[in-house]
Amino acid sequence: MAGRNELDGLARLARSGSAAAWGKVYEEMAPSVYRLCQRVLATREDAEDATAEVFLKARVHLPQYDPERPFSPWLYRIAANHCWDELRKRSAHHEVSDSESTLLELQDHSPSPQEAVLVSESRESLREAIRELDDRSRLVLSLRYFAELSYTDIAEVLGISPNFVGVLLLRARRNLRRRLRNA
Amino acid sequence: MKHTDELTLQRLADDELTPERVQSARAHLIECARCQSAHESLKAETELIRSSLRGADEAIPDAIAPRADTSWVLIAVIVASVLGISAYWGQMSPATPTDAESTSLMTRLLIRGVLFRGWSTLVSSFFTLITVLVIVVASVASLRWAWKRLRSSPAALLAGVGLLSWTAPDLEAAVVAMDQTEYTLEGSARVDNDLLVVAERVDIAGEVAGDLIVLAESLVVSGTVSGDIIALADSIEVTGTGTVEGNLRTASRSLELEGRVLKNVLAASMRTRLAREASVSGSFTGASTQRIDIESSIGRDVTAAARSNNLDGAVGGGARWTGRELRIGPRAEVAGETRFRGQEEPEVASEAQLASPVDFERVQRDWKLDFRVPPVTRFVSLWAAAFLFGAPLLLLGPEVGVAVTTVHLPARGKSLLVGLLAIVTLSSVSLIALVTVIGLPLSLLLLAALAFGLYAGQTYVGAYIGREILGAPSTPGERLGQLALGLLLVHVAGSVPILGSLVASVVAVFGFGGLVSWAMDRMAPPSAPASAVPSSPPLP
Repeated sequence: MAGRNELDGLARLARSGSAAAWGKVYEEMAPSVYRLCQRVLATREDAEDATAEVFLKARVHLPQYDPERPFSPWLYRIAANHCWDELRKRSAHHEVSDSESTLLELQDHSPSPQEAVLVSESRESLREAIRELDDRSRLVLSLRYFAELSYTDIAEVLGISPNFVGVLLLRARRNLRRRLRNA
Repeated sequence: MKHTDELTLQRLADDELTPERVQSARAHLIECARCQSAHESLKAETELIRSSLRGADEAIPDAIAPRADTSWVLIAVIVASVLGISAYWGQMSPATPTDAESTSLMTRLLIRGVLFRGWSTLVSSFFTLITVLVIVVASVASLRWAWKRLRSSPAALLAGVGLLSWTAPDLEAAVVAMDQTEYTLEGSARVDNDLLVVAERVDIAGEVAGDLIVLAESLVVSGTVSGDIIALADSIEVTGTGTVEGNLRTASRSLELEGRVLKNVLAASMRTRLAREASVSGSFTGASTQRIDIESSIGRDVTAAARSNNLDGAVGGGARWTGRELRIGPRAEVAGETRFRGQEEPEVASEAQLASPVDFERVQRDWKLDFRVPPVTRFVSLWAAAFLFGAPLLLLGPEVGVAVTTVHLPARGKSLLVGLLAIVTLSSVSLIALVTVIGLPLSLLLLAALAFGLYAGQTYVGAYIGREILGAPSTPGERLGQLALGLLLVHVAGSVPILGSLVASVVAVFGFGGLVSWAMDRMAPPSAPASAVPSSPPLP
């Protein structure tokens, strides 16, 4: 596995025209991009197709990559955009009724130590619960805790404010807690 | 007291709060046990979500999983072809008894291979036939691999030109004789052009109107050469009837001059002797590991370095000597000043006519050309030299280092094949350039590039090995440490008695291949399709 610096170096090489370096970037990053797509999209086939398309898009847009900045967030953003487009394309029942007023509802709520019950859950059951979440919650959770994108990056992908990303994350957590408590 | 809300705690755990809010939140956590506990729970929950998302619940599909980067079949083919090639070239030119123990594979590949004496001897043994087959298979495999990258790059053009000039060597500039055991230019014969000969024994009794370029074991010139003689041979002799109207430039074990040279002589040898009946109109410059005897007349200056220097002839200019001893005989005449840097007091015959007494400067150390050093010192200095050469290379071109060690060398089979291919191509092209005479500078440049590349190769192999052992380096210091370690291993392996030279050759070829792959990769047009991306269905 190439280190982070090396991955950035490879991306710079690929950007300046090296086909072999791009091949290496693909080898290094394809499994992670595939995992991200797999977490967000429904089926294995969708994730495979999405991975291939993400790399095609990345290759085309490589000249726009800023070599001074780390490469993996850039690539994950392309993947996030792609997955988000896919999700919107296929789901008609996609809830868009959220407004930022939920902020107030959440802010009023002060936590009790007992509420963070997920600590004792097994990773398998948690993964199952994540799979059952709505599209956007799944995407936001994956982008934050798998791809490690910042709230700002995620906000840009989804076309919402960074604060609202926090709200979505918290709501996803509570959803998970509720599901697992009822299970 | 107002407790911190969960959203803020989450943003704190996610590192998404402004510095001021981080400060106030942390201040509150110190005071409030309840919020502190909520914060800890939230962090634990975050870690659980993170590890759950990262965990591998099902295998990565083959189309996406990193491919194994070692094809053992390919490696086997490479090893077989390296062995095959060495056996093959070994058959072509049996080593001469004098240098049998010092002929390495690289020497054979680069120099002695051109002494090929024909296919008839080759097919006589079954073993050689097998090795030829292996080479053919390896060539086809490497060509198949190279085809994709070559067809759209300038390298294709270069290779095409190289191939064309190889298959159609219509040389206007020189007459060429190769693939012969013995070459004789009869006394009555005349070559109206430059003459290039590669053979074991070369005898020039006739006349050459241009330059004479010879690669041979022995060269005897008893005729006339109107241009220069450039010769690389075991022994070189210009007999009493021989005349060189240009310069005589030689590298040989022994040089014996009895004829006339109308310009200068430049000689590197073990023993050089200019006989009494010989004459050189220009200057003489020579270096010998053993002795230089000058009994002839020299028109201008003499510059000589040898263990034993002997002058018993007339020198038109000054004479400068370096070595252990200098003897000046009774027939010696020197018109200019005579200087000697050496170990022993010069012996000067009283009859010798010197314009000024010998200016003698004593040097303390034992003056030897064939220096012997203890094995350990030798090992350490070779290792240090490789490191001192490699360190700036890695630090000044970090991008090249990263590319070669992470992209090209991990494809081990490819790099070896490319290395072999590049060596064969570069040495062939430079030989062609040498033959056309006008291409001499190009030829030397190519050979220098080849030598540089082969030596630089070990730097990248060293860095690659270090990286394989210690993992990806993150600082220049780590990079250099890994280089030192890798080079140490390479040199330790290289000092094993019999396998060592093979290891060293493979390392050089392998590293050079990585470097060439990098260069070819750079030359490929950026618009080339992403070959590593698997085929995907058309976009909806």
